[in-house]
Amino acid sequence: MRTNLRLFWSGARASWATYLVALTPTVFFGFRIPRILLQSLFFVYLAKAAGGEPFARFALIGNAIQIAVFMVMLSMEEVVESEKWNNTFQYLIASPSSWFPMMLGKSMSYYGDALIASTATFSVLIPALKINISFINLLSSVPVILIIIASASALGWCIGAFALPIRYGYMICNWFAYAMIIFCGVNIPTSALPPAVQVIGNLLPVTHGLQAVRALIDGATYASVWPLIGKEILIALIYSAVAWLTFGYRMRVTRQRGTFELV
Amino acid sequence: MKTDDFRSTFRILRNSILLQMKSNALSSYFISTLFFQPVIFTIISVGTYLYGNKPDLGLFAITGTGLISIWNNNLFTSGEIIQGERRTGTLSLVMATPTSLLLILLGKSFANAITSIFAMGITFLTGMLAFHLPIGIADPLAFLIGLILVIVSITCLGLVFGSLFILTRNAGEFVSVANFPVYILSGLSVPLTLLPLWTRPLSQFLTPTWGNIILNEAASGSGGNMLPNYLVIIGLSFIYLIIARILYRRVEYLAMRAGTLEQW
Repeated sequence: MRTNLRLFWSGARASWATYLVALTPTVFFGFRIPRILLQSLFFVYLAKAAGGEPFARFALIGNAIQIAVFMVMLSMEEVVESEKWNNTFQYLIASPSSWFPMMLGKSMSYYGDALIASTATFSVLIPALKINISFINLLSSVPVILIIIASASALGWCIGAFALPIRYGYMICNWFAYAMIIFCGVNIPTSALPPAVQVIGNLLPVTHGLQAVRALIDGATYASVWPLIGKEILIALIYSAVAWLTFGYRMRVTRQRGTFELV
Repeated sequence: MKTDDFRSTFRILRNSILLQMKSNALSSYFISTLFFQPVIFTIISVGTYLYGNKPDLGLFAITGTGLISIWNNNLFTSGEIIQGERRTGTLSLVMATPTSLLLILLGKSFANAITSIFAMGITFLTGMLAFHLPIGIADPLAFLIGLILVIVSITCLGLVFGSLFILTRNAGEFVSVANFPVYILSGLSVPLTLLPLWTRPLSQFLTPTWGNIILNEAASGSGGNMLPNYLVIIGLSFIYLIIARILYRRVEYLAMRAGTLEQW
């Protein structure tokens, strides 16, 4: 247990160090935060043009969470893929300790990054666009938002593990994250989508969690949205298991074949 | 300009265009951006308007999405060109040659813009296949002229941004933040009437705004005389070129003085 905690801690420190190198204050405040706000603003304006204030409110809640999902998915894919590009995958395989605490630690700063993205979007765009959202209700939905971020990260990890032998993992994850705006009911409710699209959406992370967040913001109780939260947790666990198994499989096969440089 | 100068300029432009097109043909990133982004953005924007019972805005959303893809391709690849040269260690060599970097980038950016015409076709195709929208272009000639002018003008605007990429290693971050303001300010898929009044002068200075107006009017057949709008786009292209030239001279000087182009 102590070894695992130490591994987790060293992974988290590495993650934080990487984060600080990549995101200097200039990059963070000059590029990252404006990009987060502007992406959400574009989709909120689109919804407002289509259906006025109610649509804008719907899109703001969806996009404030989607931007966190977008970032955490890409980051998780990158955490997995970086092992390949940094030539550290073989060390991970050769190490007698479990890879999981280290990889989880390496993801930590990105969870924080996703939370910042969501917080910034809500706190800037709600007053800027004068959208009626109860602050107390929004705060009460934070645990569900954290569950959504965790389940999206499992999908990002899954894509990273699947795409490890190819070079286009980041790109695939990027387009997958954009497509989730359609499938997960970010701008349009899933009930308005064609049945086939609804089926896909129901199998993806975010969809049920987002519905729960919307209900909580509208004043619903946790008891009433518990089935939605339960589905989100179940989907997160399934994707995590698939990611775990796939990454383990990649490690095993790479060791068997000695193809470290080809991963 | 002497005949030799003209011929060498033409040769540089031709070779830059060919090189970039070959590079694009092998770039999975470029190809995926070209094909996937228009599909996803068309579905989101047209789907949102249809859900809001505003099918009449479908065509507006489609032309807007097409322009988004053209701008996105141009901006992303302008950043990629500079980053690519920097990563492969050829940026300083290119800058040291007597040939202007601006000319090389003009050719390369133009190649990207030409290739991104596909994006416009894909948005129309997606609108027809995914939403069964009865999409037709009422005035194909005006649409084609408008599209060509927009592409040339967007290339020139891309050069203005491209000059800044030379100075920074964060071109990727810059590109990601420069995309959405242009979409919003140009009214691409989003009506300009939603924006605060103080943003109007900014919108007027962006070529996608005028491109959007021209393409929508040509596609819907609601346009009268297109010539004034064409002239605005041509004028803006010249202004962008002048700004890009001034910026490049300054940036070239700063980069050579600092001597850090090989730092990555």
